[in-house]
Amino acid sequence: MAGYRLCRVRTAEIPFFIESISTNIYTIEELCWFLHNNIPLVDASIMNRDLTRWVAQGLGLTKLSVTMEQAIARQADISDFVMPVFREIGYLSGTELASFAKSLSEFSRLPLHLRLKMKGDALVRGGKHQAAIRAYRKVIRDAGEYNFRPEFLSGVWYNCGVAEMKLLLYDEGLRSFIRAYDLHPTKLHARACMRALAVTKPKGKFPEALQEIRARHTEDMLLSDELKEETLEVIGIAERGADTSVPEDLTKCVQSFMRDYRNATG
Amino acid sequence: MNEVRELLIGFEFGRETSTICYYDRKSEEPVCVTTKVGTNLFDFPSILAYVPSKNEWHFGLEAEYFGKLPGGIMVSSVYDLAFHGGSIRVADREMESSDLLRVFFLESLKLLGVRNIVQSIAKIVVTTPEISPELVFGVRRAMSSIGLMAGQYSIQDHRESFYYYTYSQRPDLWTRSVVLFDFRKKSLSAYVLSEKKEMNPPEAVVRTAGSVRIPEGDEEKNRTLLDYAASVMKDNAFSGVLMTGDSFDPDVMRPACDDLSRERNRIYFEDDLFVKGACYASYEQAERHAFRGRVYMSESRVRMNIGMDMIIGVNTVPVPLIRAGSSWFEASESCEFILDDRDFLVFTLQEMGSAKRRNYRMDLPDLPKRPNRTTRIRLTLECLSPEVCEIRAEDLGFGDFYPGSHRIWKGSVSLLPEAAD
Repeated sequence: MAGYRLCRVRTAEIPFFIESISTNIYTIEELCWFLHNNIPLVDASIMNRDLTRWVAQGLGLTKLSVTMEQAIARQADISDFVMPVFREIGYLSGTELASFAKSLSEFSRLPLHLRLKMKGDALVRGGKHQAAIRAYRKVIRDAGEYNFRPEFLSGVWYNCGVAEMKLLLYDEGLRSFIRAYDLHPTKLHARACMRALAVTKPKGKFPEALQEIRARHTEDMLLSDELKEETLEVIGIAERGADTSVPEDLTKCVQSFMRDYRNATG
Repeated sequence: MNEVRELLIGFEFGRETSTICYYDRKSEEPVCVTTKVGTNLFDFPSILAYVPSKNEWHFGLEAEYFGKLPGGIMVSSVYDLAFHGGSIRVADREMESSDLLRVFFLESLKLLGVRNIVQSIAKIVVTTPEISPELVFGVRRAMSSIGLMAGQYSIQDHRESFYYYTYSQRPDLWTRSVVLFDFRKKSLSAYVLSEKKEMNPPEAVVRTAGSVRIPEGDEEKNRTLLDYAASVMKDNAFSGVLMTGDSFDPDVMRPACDDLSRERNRIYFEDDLFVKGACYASYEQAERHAFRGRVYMSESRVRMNIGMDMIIGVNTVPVPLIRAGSSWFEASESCEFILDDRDFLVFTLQEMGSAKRRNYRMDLPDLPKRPNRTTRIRLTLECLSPEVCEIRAEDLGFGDFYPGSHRIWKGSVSLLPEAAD
């Protein structure tokens, strides 16, 4: 339903801090938007009395706060905690609300480790790489016990590698990509491996390290010479800085990197 | 005073004198506040005096005394300054008209005898002979600096006070038109209140007749009133005649009043009619709400409803923003909403008493691109005159998720009815 959604609930003077994405929220609409777009992050860090207190005191919604507290007290399903928030202001239309309720219910029925991986993915999307790595590592730790399918586990290793590379942890990232490739060799994993090798290993040691992986995968030809050339070309361009320009406000740029890094590691 | 909390105040702010009254809920009528205990002295001069050595302000009768003392500074032009705007130098500081009004209201409201004025007043309506934009904005600034919220005060002219006074009386007074004769020092003026019942909602209008000079002799005075009344009352049927003003003497004017009452008109005399009208307005607007279904119209009133269709809960409902019939200087509204799949605003305009609606579209060029429902807009509507309403839309973003650009878009809507084809 297109139009203008009248905001009738006051804006809180003191915000509620969502730890998982390091973001302050000031309004019930922002809370709805977060819940709607981050189902995997709706856990104990959100479903707690700090939030219900903020809803009562910050937003002045005492009745809603009581409903949410009751859901916590009887350890109810996520939907019993979340849905009243949406109903309070009608943030979603009838069909959207039904579809969201279905997604919530499907999510809560998913296996724990898949939910954990999805949480990691949501954290990566929110730039919280350190927290994402912790979620992925927990899945990886339990791999021996649960005997996951290689496709699933390689996805976890790959995503973990992406988060590590974003944190400039190149060696750890490389190891994760190699594990992903070893478990389930795909073009995506091969390209990630090759690029991580090129970034991490000194020029002399690059062929040697590549050969080591190739030796384990004699049947597939994904780590081909063609991919190697393509990778070296990409790395070469990056090293020459052909397409890069110095930002006008260098201080601002560095501050932005620092902020992102702190956010990612917080 | 019988009332001490949730006070409903009428404040007549005149060029020379002012009067305060409060609504007594027990006796169900406005009661004027005396300036001296045990007397019937209700009016006080609209003046201020400042004593620099003590850094003290005085108003009314005290101001007359302290202003004449050595070192005392008398400010006798409070009304004129407020009406025309501007500033005045008092001792070593330049004071805006709103600063003077603040002092004047704050000091004179002490007559109410309550400890905390802001907490005790539910509503105060200020009435003046005439209204100017400068006066309105000055009173607004003064009231808000005293600490009163926007809904706690309003300002109206004598004509509107007459309207509130009349419709707060028994209905047999206002079944037809009502005329008010106002006796001021040496001039006599008249106000005629009539209702256009054919309109929907019915409109009450007050027209004024040009004033005449009051002659000296008793017989001449009676003759003047009768002649004046004949010219003022020739076109309407009247159910009530009201008399007010300092220079009205019932004993002197009895022959003329008897003549007027022979025409089956009821004659009433009311001292302090305008301040009581303001007090009734205060009661009506804050508590009674009995005038709904009838609207007071004058040239300062907006004739157009402005609204927006907004989503509230799961329904789209028309939300009124500016209501027809409100004074242009008080017609303002502010609200916030989230854009849902829209990058422009649509307002609905509907002329008073007509079912015809037309839309006004306001584009928001260069609105930052964000996911749907992550743009919060603060909308402010403010009438600049009875004919023009200014619209301001500000991009507030969406909290820390999408910080606002605080870009402001402006538009203006004509409140004049569209010309007929």
